[in-house]
Amino acid sequence: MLNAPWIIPLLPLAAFAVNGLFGRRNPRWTGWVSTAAVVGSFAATVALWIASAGADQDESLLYRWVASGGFTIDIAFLTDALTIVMLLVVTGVSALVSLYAVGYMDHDANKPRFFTWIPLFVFSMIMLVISDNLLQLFVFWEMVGLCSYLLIGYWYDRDSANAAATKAFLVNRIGDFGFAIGIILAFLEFGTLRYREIFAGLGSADAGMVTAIACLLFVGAMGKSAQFPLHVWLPDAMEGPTPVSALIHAATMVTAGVYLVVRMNPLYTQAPEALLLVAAVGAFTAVLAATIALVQTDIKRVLAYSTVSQLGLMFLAAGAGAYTVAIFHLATHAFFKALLFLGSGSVIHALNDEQDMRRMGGLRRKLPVTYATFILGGLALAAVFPLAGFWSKDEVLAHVFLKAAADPGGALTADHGAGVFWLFYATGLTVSVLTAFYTFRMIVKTFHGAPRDAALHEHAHESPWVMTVPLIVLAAGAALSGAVLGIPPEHGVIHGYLEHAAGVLHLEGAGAAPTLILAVVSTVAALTGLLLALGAYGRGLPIPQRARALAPGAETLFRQKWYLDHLGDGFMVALTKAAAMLSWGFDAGVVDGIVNGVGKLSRFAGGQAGRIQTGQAQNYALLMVVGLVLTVGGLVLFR
Amino acid sequence: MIEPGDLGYVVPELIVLGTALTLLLWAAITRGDRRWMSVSIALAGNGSAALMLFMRTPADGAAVELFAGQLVVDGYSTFFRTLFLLLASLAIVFGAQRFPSAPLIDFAALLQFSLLGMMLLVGAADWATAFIAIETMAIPVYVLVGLTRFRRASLEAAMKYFALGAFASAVLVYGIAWSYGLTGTTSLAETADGIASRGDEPWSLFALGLILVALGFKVAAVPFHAWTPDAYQGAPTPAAAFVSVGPKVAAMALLARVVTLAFEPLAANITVALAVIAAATMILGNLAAIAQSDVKRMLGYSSIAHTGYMLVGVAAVSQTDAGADFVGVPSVLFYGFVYALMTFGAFAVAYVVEAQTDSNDLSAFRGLARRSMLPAAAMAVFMLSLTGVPPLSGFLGKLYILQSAVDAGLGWLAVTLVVTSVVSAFYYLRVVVLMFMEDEDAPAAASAAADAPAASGAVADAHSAVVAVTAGATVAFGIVGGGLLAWAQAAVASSLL
Repeated sequence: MLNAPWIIPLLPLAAFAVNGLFGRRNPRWTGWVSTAAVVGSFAATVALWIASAGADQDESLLYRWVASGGFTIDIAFLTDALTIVMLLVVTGVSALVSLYAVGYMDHDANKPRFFTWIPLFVFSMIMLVISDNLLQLFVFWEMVGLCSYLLIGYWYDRDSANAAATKAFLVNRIGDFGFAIGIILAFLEFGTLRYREIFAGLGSADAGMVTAIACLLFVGAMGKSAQFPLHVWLPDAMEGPTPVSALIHAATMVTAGVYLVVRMNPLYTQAPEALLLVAAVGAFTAVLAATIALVQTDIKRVLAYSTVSQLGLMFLAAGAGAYTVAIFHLATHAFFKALLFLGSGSVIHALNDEQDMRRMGGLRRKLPVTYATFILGGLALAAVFPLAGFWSKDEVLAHVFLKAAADPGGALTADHGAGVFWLFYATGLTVSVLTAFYTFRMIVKTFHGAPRDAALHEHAHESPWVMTVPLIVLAAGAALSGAVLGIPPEHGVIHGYLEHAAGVLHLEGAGAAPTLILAVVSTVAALTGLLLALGAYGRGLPIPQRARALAPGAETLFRQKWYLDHLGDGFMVALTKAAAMLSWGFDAGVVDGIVNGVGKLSRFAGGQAGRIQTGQAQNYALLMVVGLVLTVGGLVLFR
Repeated sequence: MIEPGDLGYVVPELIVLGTALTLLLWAAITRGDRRWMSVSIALAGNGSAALMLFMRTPADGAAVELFAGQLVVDGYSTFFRTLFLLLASLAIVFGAQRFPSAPLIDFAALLQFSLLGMMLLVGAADWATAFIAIETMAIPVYVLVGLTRFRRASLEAAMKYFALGAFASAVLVYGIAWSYGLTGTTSLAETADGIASRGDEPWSLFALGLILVALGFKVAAVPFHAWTPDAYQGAPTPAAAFVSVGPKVAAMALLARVVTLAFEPLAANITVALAVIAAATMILGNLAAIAQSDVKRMLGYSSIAHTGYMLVGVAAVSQTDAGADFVGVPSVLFYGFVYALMTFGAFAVAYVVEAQTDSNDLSAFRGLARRSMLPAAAMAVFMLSLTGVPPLSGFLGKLYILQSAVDAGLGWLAVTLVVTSVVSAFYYLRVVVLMFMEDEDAPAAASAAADAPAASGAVADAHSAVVAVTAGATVAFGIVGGGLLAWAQAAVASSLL
């Protein structure tokens, strides 16, 4: 019983079925059904975790769907340390978010639909991380994408929600296209899609092919995890209900790309060029999104860009070969980012669905629990000692530093660009400053100062317990998870635990790093940003004005999101037009051609449907004779 | 030569024959509403025939030759006979929805005669049996197509089908005569020896070509397919449902036996010929289906396309060692089974719409999900499965066929299959879109409301059961297709091929 992984996905699947079939008639219970199932999943995961302690990994074949010749399609579970960490994060956060949503969605008329898709998403996400092969992962990769699409467009009567859902769908198609080609190439190269067998076949694989596969899989990861240039969908995805943003678009689904790269790490280790690509895309995305977050006025959009930026840091860690650290940051980020989203949801809920920070302010006394937990989440995001984000982000930067230091030449050398890791390290520090700045800009604007909209402020109220309890639990996680998992640095619980997945996880030795100095440097960076934000928005110091004077074009650039959405939209429009033209051409040329051709043929054959006896049967017979002559003649002539 | 014990193996066929005769007799001596009795007789007969089929299986699982080598009882024939008994039973329940009392009893009797022919055909081990069985199967089917004799379209379709079928039979007999002349035998197994001793000389290929053409007509392969859409459109819908699956799969079974047994020495030539025909069939069937606006015509072209897919499997069969391993024949068996169920189900839903709107036009499917959710959901399953969407049985079927094609070195044919399948999504998914995403036309809705109570409750329930069984099987064989495949593999392993 303890070691029964199948129960983990089964419970949410059952909740999906129950809510899908009976939810309409009993809308009140749907939220509790979903929550109970996901809590059960979490409990089963904990049980599995305890039961599997000490074991390296366990593979169990659930169902062999197709077995023909050498080709098999399995539904199978691989439970190693990496899977279990991911499962704990996924089911844990899902349980809290589902509980929170019971309160948040209370007044929504369509909540049975909401609580049908949420457990389906949890099920799909569990199946994604528990898979032992790329095909199963891909199927559920698409499933979580489908759930994401359905939930972004949950309020389907809003045009913006439909547009955002469509955008997410289309952008992810680009990523998934690359991913699918990568999977096909992997099958062609290794003859299997099981991770273990792929890794076993790496030794004899063609190096160029391995690099190509690694890059293509990363394209899929870029789409799902919103990395430049495929990041454009995630901020728009905030059109979905806030619990969805917290669960799918911050804590779990968007981290699937990071998981993919870490899961496939032996492949990436064999493909240094691909790793460099991962690191470069991650670093650039991190700084890009952080700068855009500086100027957002919608509280959820700040958090969305922050998520993109933090995902970039995770890829940067993975690209530096620090796979464990990437997962560590993924785990702590799940806590504090889910907390911040749910906190922002609490604010939005209190303010009658107002999301614009320009109409907030002074909420700290009205929403004491939300405020206190939000502060903790913000400090964790800003990576202030000793909160969760500090430990994981510090390790990300430390590993980038180590990677850079490992190359004395300091140039783009044979070690595949270790030199550029100095640049990445500098980027990471900049992101630290920016992160702390936009986080506290958001906190000050939301909770401090005078209320900017008296009417909204008047009606603001603290959320019910179903919403505040998850906040408090997540706040505890945001405060403590880093220290619990990550002390001492490089040798914490999570490092030791993930080492169990030996052969799956490749650990980069920390060496005798000047860990303390690096920690101090990144703390200084975080505090700099924090103090600047407090000065600018709390004290009214003219810091933003000075910055504007210093770099006049920058604000516009950030506000326009580096013009990438325009580019993206332009591209999309062009693509749509091309597709329309193509299908029109197909319609006019091929379909109409067929229609007309068939029409002409039947006229040639001498009759329409109504005048069949006039000879169409003879023509059919004639056709048969022609076929007979061709078949027999062909057989005899080309024997 | 004829052992009395042989009769024990053909008890299922005898029961089917007895059922058919009983139905005729029943029609002559009774009056009034005999619908329940017709259905009961036929179902009881088919049920006990199926029971006997499994009780009288050869003990060691080997092939048993009966009646001096005229007929063979092996796993292969048992597999198909089970399918045919199931299809005929479904068709009779379907027919009870469509026909009033008197035509139904004719329908049931004709169905049983045709079933008898099909059951003998898949066990034929001699050209004489094969030919008689084909005609026993085909002649009742011509009548079934023209059963609604007051409908002009139905009669036209029957006459055309009959005339062309007679032509094809003539070609078949001519081919058999050549084969006999060349080898001095009508036994399929001995034919192979005779052909092998002559090599690929032109006259052997001539005989082979004639036989391929005749069977190509029966399975509706391009360019011998032209009767199909007309016959399906003109036939009463239950008859069309049966014709589109039963005789086609039976003829496919004979074709596979012929190419792996009688003409096995010419396997390389057969592969090329069948591959070309299969490619033409897939391409033309799928392209023509796009242009159809009548659902039965569309399903007609769709069934042509699926003939092409099965022919890919047969072409691959003749390239490899028959029965040696998975590839080849079992994939054809698997595909025949799941194809029959999903296509039959699609016709059954087409009839639901026909009963509601008195129309077979695709536009009548508009908004079906709003007025009748279950048939719409079942139709979606059939359409997606016919397209080959996982995890439905049509997907698995295509996957197995593809693998046998690739293993046989027919990569180009596999690519053709995939590309034409993508094309087929165009017309299959259009039905899904019509049913789920568009609102119905106002007049259709009104007439649907007016006509809905036309069918009596119990019969309508029985028809729903037909839809449910076929849809359930289409889903189930997709998810647990391994069992069906294992059966097909075992059937082929213990057969005369």
